[in-house]
Formats: sequence, C-alpha cells, structure tokens
Amino acid sequence: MRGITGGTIRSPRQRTRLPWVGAASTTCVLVGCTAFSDFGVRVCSSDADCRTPAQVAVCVESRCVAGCATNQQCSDFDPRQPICQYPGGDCVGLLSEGPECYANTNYDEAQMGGSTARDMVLLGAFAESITTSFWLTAQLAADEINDAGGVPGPHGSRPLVAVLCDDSLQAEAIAHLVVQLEVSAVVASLDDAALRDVLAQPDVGDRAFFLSPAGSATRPASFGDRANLLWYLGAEYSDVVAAYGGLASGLTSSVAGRGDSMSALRLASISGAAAEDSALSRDVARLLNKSGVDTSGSDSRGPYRTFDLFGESPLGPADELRALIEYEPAAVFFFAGGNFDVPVGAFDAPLRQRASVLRSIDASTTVSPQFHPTYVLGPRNLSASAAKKLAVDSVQFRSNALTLRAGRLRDEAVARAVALRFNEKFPNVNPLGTGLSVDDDAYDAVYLLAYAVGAVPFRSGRAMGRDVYEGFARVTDASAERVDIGPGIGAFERAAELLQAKAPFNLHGTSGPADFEPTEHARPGPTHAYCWDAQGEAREGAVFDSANGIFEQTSNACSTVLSYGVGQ
Amino acid sequence: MVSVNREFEAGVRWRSTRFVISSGAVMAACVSTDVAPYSSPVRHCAARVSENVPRDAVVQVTAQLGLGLTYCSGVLIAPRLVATVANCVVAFNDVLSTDPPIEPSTSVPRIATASVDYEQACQRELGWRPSEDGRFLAPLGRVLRPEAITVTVIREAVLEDVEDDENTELRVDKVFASRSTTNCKDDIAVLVLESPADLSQVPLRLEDTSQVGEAVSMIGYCVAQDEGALVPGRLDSQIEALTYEGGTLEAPPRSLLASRNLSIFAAGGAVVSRESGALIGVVASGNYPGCGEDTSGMTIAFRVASFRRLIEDAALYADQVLHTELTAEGEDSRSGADCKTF
Repeated sequence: MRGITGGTIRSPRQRTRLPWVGAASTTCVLVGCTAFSDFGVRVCSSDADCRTPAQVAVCVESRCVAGCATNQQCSDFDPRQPICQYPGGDCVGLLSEGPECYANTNYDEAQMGGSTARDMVLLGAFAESITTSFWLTAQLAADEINDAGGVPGPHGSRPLVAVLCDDSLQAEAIAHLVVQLEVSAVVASLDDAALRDVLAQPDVGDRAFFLSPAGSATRPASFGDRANLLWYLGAEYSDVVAAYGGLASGLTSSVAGRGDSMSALRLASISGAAAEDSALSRDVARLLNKSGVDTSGSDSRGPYRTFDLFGESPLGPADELRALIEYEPAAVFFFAGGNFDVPVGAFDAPLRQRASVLRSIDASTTVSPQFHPTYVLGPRNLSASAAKKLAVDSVQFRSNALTLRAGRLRDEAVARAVALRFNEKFPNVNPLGTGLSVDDDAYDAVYLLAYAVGAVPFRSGRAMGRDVYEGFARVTDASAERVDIGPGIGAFERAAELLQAKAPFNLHGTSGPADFEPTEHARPGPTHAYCWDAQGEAREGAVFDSANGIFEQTSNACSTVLSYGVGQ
Repeated sequence: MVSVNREFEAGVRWRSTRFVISSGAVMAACVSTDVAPYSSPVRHCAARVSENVPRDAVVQVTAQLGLGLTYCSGVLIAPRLVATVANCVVAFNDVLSTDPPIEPSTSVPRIATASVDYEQACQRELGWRPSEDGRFLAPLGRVLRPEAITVTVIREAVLEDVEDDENTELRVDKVFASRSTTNCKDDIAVLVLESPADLSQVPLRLEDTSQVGEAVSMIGYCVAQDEGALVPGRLDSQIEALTYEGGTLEAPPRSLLASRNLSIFAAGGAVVSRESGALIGVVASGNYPGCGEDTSGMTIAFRVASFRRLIEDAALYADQVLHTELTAEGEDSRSGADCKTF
C-alpha cells in the first residue's frame, strides 16, 4: 500500500491528496469557493454527516473534507488502520500491512479512540519476537507509565504505545514507523550497521531519534549532521578488547598449570555476520597477534583458529563443529549478536541455528570429556535469553562461561526493584524454562525515550528527531537532580513535576545515572566479567584492571570460571 | 463536474483528476475536498442461497506451525477467496517453539489446535499473557507465508470414505489478515487461492444489519465420532450480543456472541443468517473436538461487515466478484448477467 515517489515514501492517500489540496487551496484563495458550492460539495453540520463507506471525512466549515478526525473514525472505517495521524490526516495502521511491525503494547481503542497519533506518545521498537525479554520488559515499562497517567509533559499527559517491529526488516519497518505513524523516537535494538543504515535512509531524515539499548561499534559523532539522533545505553564494544588479552594470558598460565593433555594454548573464535561482531573478532585477533600469538590460522593445531558455525563455510556447520571439537581449544571466544532469544515459528531456521551454536558446542562436551573449554561470550550476549537458558540447562556451560561487557555496573537496588515488578507482572514466565527475564536495558530505554518525548516543549505539530534529542538532553542532564526510574513518588511523580515545569533532571536507571559521554554518544566504563547463576541471572564477578592487565574478582559469581586461573 | 464525480465513482483518482485540475483548475479546486458517493471498486452481486449452500462452502484450512499443524475451517466467499479467522494463519509464539528445535526425523508432528482461550488470553483488559505453564497461547505473531497454508476441500463423502484422495488441496497465493491479533481483536483473514475452488460460495452481509435474537447457523469442522474424520458440522443458534468498537468483557470489538459452542476445528468457520444464508461472521474459536459434544456455552465470531475493506482488498487483488446478501425486499440493481445465482 505504499507508494514510492522520488525516494520518499508516502501513503497513497497522501500522494493523491497533497498536490490536489495544494492546488485547491491556492485556487480557492484566488477565486472563492462559495461561488461553486453546489458543484458536488457535500454539506454537513457534523462529522457524522460525512460518514461514508468510501473514505474517511470530517466536517469542516459545513463541508465534508477528506481526512480523519479521530482514531475511532479510522477504526470504524477500516479496523486495519485504526490510527488517525492528526486531525485532517490519514488513517494508518498501528501495525504494518506486511510482517514488519507486528505487535503493540495494548493500544486501547476504548480509551484512545477519541485521540489522534499526536495525542499519544508512539515509540518504535525492534525484536524478533514478542516472546523476548526485551519485549516483555518494554511492556512492563509502558504499562507502568500508562498506569501512572501516561507520559507527562508541559501540556499534559499522553498515553504511551510502543510498536514492535521485526529486527530483520528494518527498512520497511522504519518506513511504517517514521513515515506512516510519524513515530519520533525509536528503541533501536538493532545491529549497529543496521541501525546506521536505517538512519541513512532518505525517508528517515531527521524525523526520528534513536536510542540503542546496546553498545556501539563506532562513534556516531562521525555520522555528520544526524549524529545527535543516535545514542547508545552501553559502551563502545571495542572497549572490551584489552580484556581479551588479559584472559588469554590467564588461560596460558591456566593451561600450563593444569598439566592436562593440551601441550599448548589453543583459542577458538566464532563470529556472527554482524559488522560489530566481525570487527570485535578482528580486533581481538590483532591484539593477540601483537602479544605474539599466531592468529593466522595456518597451523591447524596452532594457538588461534576461527570457526564458521553460522553456515557460510563451504564445509558446513557440522564439519566446522567437528573440527572445533578436534581442535580442543582452551577457550571459545563467541562473537555473535545478542538477539538470539528463543526462536519462533517454522521459518526462522537461521535464528534457530544461532541459538543452537553454543548449545551444540556444549553438547559435544558430554561426549568428549577432555573438552572443557572456557566460553567467553561477547558484550552483546549479556541479556540473551538463549545464553541464559543454556546456563540454566547446562552445569557444564554455566561453570565455564563468562561474558565481557564494558560500561556501567548495574545499580542493584534499582534493578532488583524492576525485576520484582517484572515477576509480578509476568508470574508465569519461568526463566528456567524459557530464558526470559527482565531486560534492564530495555526498561531504561523505554523510560528514557518516553520522558524525552514528554520533554519536547510543544504539543501541536509533529515532533522531529531533533526535538526529541532536545528532550533527551533535558532528561539526561548530568548536572541536574536525580530522578529514579519506575513508578512512585521519588520517581515517576517527580519526573512528571519536572517535565511539567520544563525543568531538567538526570534519570537514574538500572545502570545508574543516564549521563552520556557526549563524543561517543554512549556510556563508557571498565570491562566487567559476568557469569550466569543456576537461575540464568548474569551476575558481575570481576572487573578488568586495564593498568595491570588482570581481572580483579568482585564477587563469587565467576569464581568457578576464574578458579581455573583465567585472567588472574 | 460530472466527469469529476464519475472519476471518483470509478475509483480512479489522481491520474484523471490531475487532468481536470489543469484544464479547469477553478472548478476542480473547489470540489477537491468533496466526498463522493460510495461506489465500491468491487462489483457486488446480490444473491440468495439455498439451504445447503453454506455447508457446501466450508473448507478446511490447515497451517504449518513449527513442526505441527493447525486445523481450522474457512468459508468460500468467491471462487478464489476463503474467509477464515486470523488466528489460524498467524504464527503462535508458543507450543511448538523449542530450543533447540526438535529434529523433524525424531519428532511426531503434533496437532496444535487453533483454539484460542479468549477468557484467558484475549479479554481486552488483559491483552495477552503467558498461560499458566509459561507458554504463550494468544494468537500472536506474524501472518504465515502462503506456502504454509493449505485449503482442503473435504467432501461430504468423507463421512463414508475417509480416503485422502477424496480431498482436494488448494494452494494459497496471498493472505489478507487483520493486523490487531496481538490484542485478540479483529481476528479475521481472507485467503486468496491460487486457483478457483469448484464449490458453492456464500454471499456476504456487508451492511451491518445483524440484530440480537437473529437466527443463525454456525458451520465448521468437527471430528465425526464414529469415523474419527473431520467433517463439516452445523449448529443452529441465535445472536445473543453484538459488540462495537469498545467490545465487552465477554467479546472483543466488532464481534457477535452466538448461543451454543462449536468444535475447536470450527475456528474460522461460518456464522450465516438462517433467513438469507449470508455470511454474517467468522467463528473465532471453539471448545471441544467431536461433533455433537456438549454445545453449551457461547461462540465468538467477528462480523464480516466490519471488515468490508479487508474483504474488498482481497477481492480486488484476486479480481473476484463478491456476492452480497439479497435482502427481504428482493430486488437489487446490482444483480446482472455476471452475477451468479445460487
């Protein structure tokens, strides 16, 4: 139903009406239309007089004019397109016509039917499925905000609706979100390269602001005039590279001290196709190479080999897996996207495969008792449901796995409170069975963006990405008052007061204050090692001391892994 | 002026009206915002049906979900159009998802009924939620690809002879589905078949004239208790309630509640007027497997009149003529040589 005109996407009705209305209004000014009022103009006294099964129309100055007045009018006309963009605008779907955008957080026709999209705060979001920790948590945040009265702002509160799109169909999804729904803020849980491609789309322009709940591969500051429209809750991925050097030297000591069958350190690297995964893999290899490790892979029993278990190898993943087992690595470095939650449906074979790679390796350890690698998962795996579930299912994996991530530490008190509310809302979600649990970053991202849109100073007209950026700066002001994330007096209610007063604040989320590094557009911090407990919760166990090149244990969470001497 | 309205009536808008602007800008400008009288781009024909037609028009809709299949019903509304319920042709995010996946060679395909527990998962104030055992039962997810869906015509002969070759399988070319299935609302879909089905077709009630108390029949598949085969069954009923945009606790928006309850395989089946034989609604779900089991309870069906645009879009795509209900008045100017009489 979309038409493409000169690189921009408009709905068919826009295409037909805009030049038409433009010509009409110009001519009307010149001539005066009353002289022609009997030329088929439909006279009306209310919107009800304009009801017709042919198109949505409203009564304006006693005439029926094409365009919608409310969401209700749109859903009455065609339930597939229940959203009125704005008074006089088009009716559009909350979900897309195709499979791109497929879920929303409880749009309530009874409550929001009298509104238009501009009376609501619409957020875009991306995930492969609704059965993801990300989406469950986004729903928790959206429901909390709506239960408290909606997104506050200087001109009153507005209901929040998040629309979930498929993270493998970004271009089409963004067209739906930004062009049709006029969404001005997006929780961009996408691969970094995909996110940049989206921002580079001509149709996106400066219409929307993007906040990634993950980290960044490169600095958005290099992204020209749209740089301010892209921010990251995490740190740059490359910040963790030095820690791999520390791990490798620890493993060397460990292998020498174990006196097992392995005569030399062998490290296996597995990388996904996403740009940040392959970049991180390359950077780690480069670092090890500088330390004297031969990373060329020329020696099949050499100290470092890469394995392609994602199906692009001519050998095929099964043979690659066999080669990996025979290689008997001391550690498996796994660089692949964080979005490999529990797969869905019959046609998601690639996703299933992603989820299965680690499980396949782990399963191999049961038939090869000598094979007990340490699993070092990359920074995008901290919240991955598949990793959580594998940790729950396999003591072997859990005892030997850690994940590295640079950035802020969780504020345990805040995060624990969010987790409690998550468990209350979804009492039947069993992390042991599904790997699903609260996603702290998703929670923070929804609140941050909701408040950022609430802080946009004007209410009428379309908010653009730069407007949301100004709001975002206002609610992440490091020098301003701390406001806690979530519902309650010191939290939502205080945020509402400050938003209504147009005053800045610093939203304190599950990973502490939301003060962003202005150049990186991210939140850098030291590299932490996290390990999973028997419930699938990732817990911080060590921090990398970059000055001395070693890990310092901060809790017992990773004590089993670190007992092998890794990194110490 | 006449030409402008004709263009609107024909559903042809921009290209021709641009010409009018250039040749008669003053006049055209002043009628530019006019809302033209309605004329559907789809040619409708009025039709009356015989007593048996609705039952003959019901087909089985099978969808591949993960490693299992869902079995639903559908009703032929044009030679290439099957109306059904959207929850039968969208991916569940539930029972068949396993991690790691079950190897096809080692698993026995399971039948996942397309039954949706509206009380648990679909009441409007609940939205959706995981079921008690942590799985997700709401009809959530994306529309399946057409190749995952098969429409099977199971003749009445199945009752006596359940040989598979008695059945005709039809491939689906495109799925038109409502988009609000996440909230268990607007649960309706139209399947476009690759080739026409040689079956009766049911005319549609596209004007929302249904009333509480109206006598209806509900038709959908159920398991014949003696042969164990899926057969089309029929229950006479009446409309107990109608919902509009707000819905109620018992039923989602734009639906009807009919007395008595159908088989789980009847999801997607037809609710037809007993007077005119026209399709009023599409059955959302049922509760029991066998034909003639306990039918106490209610059936939720989505009213086709509320989804006129969706149905017309599918008809336009497939170049199909839609047959509309012949009203009590009898005469209908839209009847013509191309219109089929059942």
